[in-house]
Amino acid sequence: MSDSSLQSDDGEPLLTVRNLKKHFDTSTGLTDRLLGGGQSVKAVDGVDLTLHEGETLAVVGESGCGKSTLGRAILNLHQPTDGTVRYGGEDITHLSGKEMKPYRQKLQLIFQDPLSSLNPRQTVNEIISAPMEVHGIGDSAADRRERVEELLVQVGLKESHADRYPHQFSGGQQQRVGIARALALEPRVIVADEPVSALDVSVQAQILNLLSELQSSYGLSLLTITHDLSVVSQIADRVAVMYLGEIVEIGPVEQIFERPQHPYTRALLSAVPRIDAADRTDRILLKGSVPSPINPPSGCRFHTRCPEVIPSSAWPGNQSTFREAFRFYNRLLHEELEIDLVRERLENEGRSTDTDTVATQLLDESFQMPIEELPDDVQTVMYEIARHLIEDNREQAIETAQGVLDSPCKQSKPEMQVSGASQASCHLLTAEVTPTISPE
Amino acid sequence: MSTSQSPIDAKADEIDDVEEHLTLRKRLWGTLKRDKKSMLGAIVILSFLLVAIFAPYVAPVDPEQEYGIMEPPNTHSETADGEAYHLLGTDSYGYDIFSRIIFGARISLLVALVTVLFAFTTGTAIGLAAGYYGGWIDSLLMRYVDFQWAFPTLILAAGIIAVSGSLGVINVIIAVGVAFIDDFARLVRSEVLSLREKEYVVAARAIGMSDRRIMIKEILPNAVASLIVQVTLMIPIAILAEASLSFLGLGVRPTTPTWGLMLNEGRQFITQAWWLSIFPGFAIMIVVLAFNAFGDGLRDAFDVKEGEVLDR
Ligand code: SF4
Repeated sequence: MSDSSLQSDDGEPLLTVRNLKKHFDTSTGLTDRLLGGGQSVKAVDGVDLTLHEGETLAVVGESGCGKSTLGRAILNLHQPTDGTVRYGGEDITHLSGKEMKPYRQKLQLIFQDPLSSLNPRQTVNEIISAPMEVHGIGDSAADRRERVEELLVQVGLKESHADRYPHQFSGGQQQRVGIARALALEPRVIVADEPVSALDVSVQAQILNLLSELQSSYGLSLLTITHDLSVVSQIADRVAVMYLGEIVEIGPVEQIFERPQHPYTRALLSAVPRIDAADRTDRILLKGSVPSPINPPSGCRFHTRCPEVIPSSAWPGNQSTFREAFRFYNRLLHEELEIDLVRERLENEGRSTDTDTVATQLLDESFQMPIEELPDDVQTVMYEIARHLIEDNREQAIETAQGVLDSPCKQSKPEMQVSGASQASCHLLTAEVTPTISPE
Repeated sequence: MSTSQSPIDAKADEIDDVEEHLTLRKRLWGTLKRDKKSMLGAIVILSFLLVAIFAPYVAPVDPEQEYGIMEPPNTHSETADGEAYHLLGTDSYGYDIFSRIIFGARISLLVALVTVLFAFTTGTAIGLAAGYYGGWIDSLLMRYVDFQWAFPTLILAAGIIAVSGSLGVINVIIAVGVAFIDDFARLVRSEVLSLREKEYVVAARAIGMSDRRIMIKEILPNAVASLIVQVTLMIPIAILAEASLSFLGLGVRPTTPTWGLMLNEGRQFITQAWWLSIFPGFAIMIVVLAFNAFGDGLRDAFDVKEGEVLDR
C-alpha cells in the first residue's frame, strides 16, 4: 500500500510519517519489568501519513484513539517506539534535544487548552518572545518586542496586550496568543491539537478562520487533530480517520464525507447534524465501549463495535442477526456477561434459577431481538453457549461460539484499499473476503 | 493579511476592565494588611533584622566589657567613664546581657539565613533535577534524600560537626544546612512533578528550549510561592537548631555571643540568677513565633496548601 498516488503534487511531501508507533509502558517497577507483568498501551500503532506543502490534514477520532499522542510523537515530544518521521526528506525520528532544535523552528504546536499552555507567571510579551530568544531571532529585547506586537496584531489582538498576563484574556484571546507564539518562529508546519474544542462555539469559527487565513498568508501546512467533524469540514483538505491507534480511512474531505468507505467513518458521519433533509441519514449508534488500547481487538480493531461486521461462513442467518450474536460473543470473550447478576435478579423475582431459566433470561437480556427470531440451529447453539457458561465452563462456551461466530473481521487484519483518491481498511472492500467465502 | 478580517473576540473590546494581575508582592501586601498576626510577625522580624544590622549602635555597651558578675536586671555599674545601666543584668562572666542579646541576634539570624539559603540552593537544584529528569537520576538523588531524611536534624548536624572536628560559625551553617537539604529537595521535586506535565512546559519543549532554561524560567517561578513559605518556616527551625547545637556545646566557639550559648551558660545558675537564661530564651521564642506567624500569613497569601510544605 502506497499512498504516492494520493499526493496532491509531485514534490516530496513536507512531512512523511511511516508506520509510526508509540506504546506507553504501564509497568510500574522493576519487578513488573522482570516478570513481564507490565503492559503497554498501544496509543499509536503503525500510522502512515503524509502532509504536503500548504495543505490542511485533519486527524479525526474519538477521545482516547491516540490522535493527540500521534501529534506529539510526530513532533518528537514523545519519543516514538517505532517507525519514522521525515521532515523534507530528513529523518527526525530519534533526534536528541539539540539535534532537534533547528527542526523545532519549522514544526510548531497549538494546544487544546489555551490557558494551560501559557505560563501563568509570564506576560504575553515574554511568552511570545521566548521562542525568538531561544533561536536567536532579533537583536535585542526591543527588537523582539516589536515583532511580538506585530504578531499580536496579526492574530487579531492589540499591541497593548503584550503586557498582560494570560488569565486576563478570554479563552479565544488566549488561543490567539498561543497561535502568535507558534508563528513567532515562522514555522512550515503547525500541529493544532484540538485547537477549538475548549472554546465557546461562537469563538470556534473565528479561531478556525484565523488559522486558515494565517495558513494562506504564511504558506503553512496544518495538521489539525480533532474529534469534531465540523472542524474538519471547515478547514481541512484531507482527513484521516483514526480508531484505536490506527488510521482506518484517509482521503480528500469531500470524497470521504460523500462516500465514506469505512463503517467507522460512516458511523461518525451519521452523527453529524445536517441541515439539508435530503442529506440526513439514520444515525448509526455505535454500541459497546471503545476497547482498551492495552489489548486491542484482533483482526480489524473495529470488529467489536462494527455495525457492518461480516458474518462467518458458518452463519446460517442474515447480517443483522449475526451482528447481535457477534456482540454476545464479544461480551462473552471480554467477560462482560454477568451470570451471577442474572441469577440474582431471577431470585429476587422469585423465579427458579435452574440452568434453563437462567440461560433463557441471559439470552433475552443480551439480544435486542426476540431470541425466537434467530434461525433454529442458531438458537440451539446460543442455548448451548449459555448453558456452558452457567455451568462455569467458559472454555467450552467460547469453543462452541467460535464454531459459528468467528467473523473474518476478527481473524485477519484488513489491508488499506485504494479507491479513487482515498484509502480505507475494511474487509468489505476486499474481493477475497466476502460473507460467502470462507476465510483461510 | 489584514486584521480587520479576523474579528476580535467580543471580550477584547471591553479590554479596559480586565481583572488585575496580582504579583506575588501585591498578594503579600494584601494579606499583611488583612491579617494582623502576620503583620505583627513581619514587624518583629524587621525590627530584629534592623537591630542585628545596627548592633554596635543599638547596644548600650560593648558586649565584651566585663562588669560585676550576675548583677540583676535594672541595675547600674560604676565604670571609669561614668555609669553603665544593665537593663537585663549581667551574666556569670560579668557581660551585659542586653548588649549580648543584641549582638547575639546578629549571629543567630545570620546563621539561620545563610543556613536556609544553603539548603534552599542545594535542595532546589536536587529537587529540580530529580523531578524534571525522572528515571535513574531521580532514584539516585531521592535515595540520598530519603537516607538523609531518616536522621533527625540535630543528630545529623552533630555528626557533621564531629566529623569536621572543629567548632565555628561556618561549620554550624554547613551542618544545619546539609540537614535541611531534604526538605527543599522533596518540596521542589513534588512541585516539579506536577508542573512538568503542564502544557506550557510541553510548549517550551516544542519551541526548542533547553532543559536548563525550562527548569529555571518555566518551572521554578511557578514553585516560588511554596518555596518562599518553606523558607519562612525553615528559618525559625534553623534558629532553634543553632541554639540547640550551641546549647549542647557543639555550636560556635564558647566566647561568641549567641542566644543558644547564653541559654546554656545561664542554665547552671538558674536557681540563683534566672535572668541569665530567661532573657535569651525569650529572644529565641519571640523571633521563632514571629517567623511562624509571618509564614502562616504567606501560606494563605500564596494559597499554598498546608502539608504541601514542611513535612518535618
Ligand atoms: S473489517 Fe469488518 S469489522 Fe472492520 S470495519 Fe470492515 S466490516 Fe467492520
